[in-house]
Amino acid sequence: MNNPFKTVKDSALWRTPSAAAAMFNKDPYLRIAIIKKVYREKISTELKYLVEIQDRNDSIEVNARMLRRFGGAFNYEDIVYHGYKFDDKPDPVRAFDAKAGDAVLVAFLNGEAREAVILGGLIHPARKSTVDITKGPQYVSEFNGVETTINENGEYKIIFKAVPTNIKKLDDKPSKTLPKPTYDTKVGGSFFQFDKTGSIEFNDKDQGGIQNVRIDKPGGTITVNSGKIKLVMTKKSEKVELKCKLLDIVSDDKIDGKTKEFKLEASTSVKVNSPKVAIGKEGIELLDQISQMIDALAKVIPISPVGPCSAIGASPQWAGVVSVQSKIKEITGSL
Amino acid sequence: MGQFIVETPHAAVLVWNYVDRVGIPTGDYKSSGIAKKNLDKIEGGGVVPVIVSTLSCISIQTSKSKGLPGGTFNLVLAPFKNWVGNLTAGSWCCILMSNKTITEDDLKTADKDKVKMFGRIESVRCETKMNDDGTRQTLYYVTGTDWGEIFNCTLYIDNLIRGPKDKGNQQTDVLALAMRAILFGKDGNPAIGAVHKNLNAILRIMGSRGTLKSRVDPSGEVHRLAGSIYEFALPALVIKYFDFRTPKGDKIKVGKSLNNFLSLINGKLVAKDTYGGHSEASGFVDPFSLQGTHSLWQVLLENSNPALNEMLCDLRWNPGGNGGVTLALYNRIKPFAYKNFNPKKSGSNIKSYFQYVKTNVIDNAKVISINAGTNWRDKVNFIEIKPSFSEFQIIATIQKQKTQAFDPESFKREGFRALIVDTKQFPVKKGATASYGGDGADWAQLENWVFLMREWFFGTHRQLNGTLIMQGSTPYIGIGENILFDAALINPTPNLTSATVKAKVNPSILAHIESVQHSFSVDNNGARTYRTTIQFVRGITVQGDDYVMFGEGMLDQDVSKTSQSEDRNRRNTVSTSDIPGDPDPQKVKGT
Repeated sequence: MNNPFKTVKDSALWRTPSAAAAMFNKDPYLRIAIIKKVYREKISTELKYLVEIQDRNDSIEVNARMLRRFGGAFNYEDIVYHGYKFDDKPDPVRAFDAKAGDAVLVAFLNGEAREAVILGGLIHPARKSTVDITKGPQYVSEFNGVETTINENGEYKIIFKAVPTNIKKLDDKPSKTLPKPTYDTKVGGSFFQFDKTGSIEFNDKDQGGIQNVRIDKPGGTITVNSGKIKLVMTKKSEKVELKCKLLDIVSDDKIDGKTKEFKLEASTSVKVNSPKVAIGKEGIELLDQISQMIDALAKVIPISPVGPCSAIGASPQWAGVVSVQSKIKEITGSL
Repeated sequence: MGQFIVETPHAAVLVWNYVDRVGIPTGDYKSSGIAKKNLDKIEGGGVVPVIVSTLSCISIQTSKSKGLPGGTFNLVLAPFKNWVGNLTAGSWCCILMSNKTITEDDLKTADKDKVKMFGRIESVRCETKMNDDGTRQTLYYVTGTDWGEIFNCTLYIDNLIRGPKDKGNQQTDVLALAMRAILFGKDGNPAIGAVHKNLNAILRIMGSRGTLKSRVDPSGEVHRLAGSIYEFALPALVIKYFDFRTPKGDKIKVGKSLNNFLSLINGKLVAKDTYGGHSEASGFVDPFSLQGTHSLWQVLLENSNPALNEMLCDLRWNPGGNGGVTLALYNRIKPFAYKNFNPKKSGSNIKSYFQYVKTNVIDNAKVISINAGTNWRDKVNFIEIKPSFSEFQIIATIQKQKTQAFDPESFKREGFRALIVDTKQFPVKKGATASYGGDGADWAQLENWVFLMREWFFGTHRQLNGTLIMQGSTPYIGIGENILFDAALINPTPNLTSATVKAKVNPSILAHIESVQHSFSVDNNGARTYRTTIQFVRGITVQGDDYVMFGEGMLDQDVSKTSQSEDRNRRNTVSTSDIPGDPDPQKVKGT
């Protein structure tokens, strides 16, 4: 029966709530996801992530932006996370522990799944934490084969392990639980460390003999080792010790050395090779003195039994002496 | 000598009855309704036509409205058969009601003047009750929904279930991922797509055909059909009966999936009942909405740009003038613009004129009752569109003032009556840059949306809405269409608007159909009654064959008072009789 009091509602204004349910549906939940791919959006050039979300037994791929610590024009932080290989076919294995992509937590701006944001990371199911919690506060991280640790004593260490040697296998289409990463110990192992004494060390941890620089704060020394070469600088005694097999010093223009006492010891020979050589002290140079001595000798008149002879310089052989003298003058330097 | 219009209504229900009931005994059934192994042995592919004639029929009621995708029907049947045993719930059916005789041909081919609803049976039940004299009376009650109910089917993309034709070593469904590529773009990057493209992509999930591009190599193909594995399928007899066609009138020959016959009609009206397929906005699909949590209708509506568009589904007869029928899903710009209508111009690129909506002209003589009036409840004096996305570049370019329209003077009388619309779709302009990729946002166009909404909603209290009951309609009257009736039906004088008073013309009312109900009944004495009830909104005064607005089109204050001699509507509208006393004017006049 038509009710004359009833006003017909205009559906353009009065929506049926059930029909509009999806329009007003908001998604307030945080969800776990695995990063499948990282790419740069063409126009904005922003880094974007294709993430696979597990939602109540459904796998849903969503495009996401990443939450960052800084968002300024000049204060920024860009990170390219880890994805894995996939194609048009579904992943052969659904389990997250077979997928190398970073495990992340995703939220949705305005509750709209169209606009996902990666809030941060979660522990990956293929990794077991090895930190001994009984020791106290510690920090361990690894990114692309660079491990950073801060132990319970506050000792900070960055170890370069290099990208895992089995990275292709890790990144491949998921097939089974991910194996542990393997590292090339010939390449990896280098570290930088602050220890609990405040000492600082750079070390390459090379298996053929380490090379390191260690600043020993309490000992007051800086030690530089390169295999058997050792350079030790002691702050207190102001002493420098260098031990090596071969020492080549090359200076293009000048070497100045000044000390009270200089001792040079060579078990085989000492060579000085220079166009000019000066030995002596201010005003007295050895080669110059030798040259003067030759000039003086040239004037010497020997006394024979028969009386005074001609000066030695008049001797026909004196020319050979003069020739030697001229070469001495050629290399004579000044002080 | 004049005469009353005397018509004998006819009705019938054609049921394509599934001869089996799904799940018995082995559960291995085709959608056609019969076990695959026996399919070839049964004529009609497991579906048997059952005709419910006026002999069995006590009453039929159908109802369909714009607010929901699915209409409903109710049948009351006499106990000529055990209908519970004879009609299988879930069977497709067609309800015919007309003042024209329903012939045998009408049970072979759908006729737009007979068919009133295409639907499926939901329940068949028997009620037996004892009369006062101790006799028992049995009636059968059949209820069902029209075909639009398919949109209430929950949409579910399950990429963890292997399709029956997928290789055994693929533990999940390739197709699901490929669909995601279509819906969500390469790498899941929000693929901003035109609204109608997004809707078509969603509809493709329901089984229509198309190829899917690889998400790894956009130029490649995965060589799979973009169709659902499990979907609604229509029996061959149904397809043959309706002769489904595209909106242009081309025959559809592919498949049995219901979605193959479904056509999206979008854009604005560019001429009488002609849609331009205009792309008015873009958006991107929510990947979570496709995981079984929402019905297809809900998902479609979310992506339909409801701020500007309205979505409805109905039969669209004789598309392209070629006969047949289209299962039409409209997602059209709301066709409520009426001011400055010029039949020779289609208006701005998003303006869809009310006068272009398909119009059913109502014969005065068929109107039994009409109830029309104003409605302040729908009055709005403030409109704001709130873009619902968080891209910096998008937000920064929106000027809030451009997304608002308001009528401050009316605040004093009405208070704040706000229509605040969230939108997940936005207008785009080629060439503008956008951080989400694709074309950039066009906020100048958003301002035009607001202007348009102002025209749609600020004057609704001056438009007429109500209910018209008439003798059963022979032509099909669809929801979302218009009706045109003589203003004299509700007002005997030109005293409706100042313009009509000035012109001394009683115009026509052009109104928009919110719902259509048909009821057919056979009394105990065999008399048949067929009624059509139309609920309408947005009634305006128009004139001429083009329905050009008369004056402002809406009620106004500057009308003269109805004279005493005109204070009663004594017009004879139910008869063409020219006999002065037929009916007796005095009786009609009353006292």
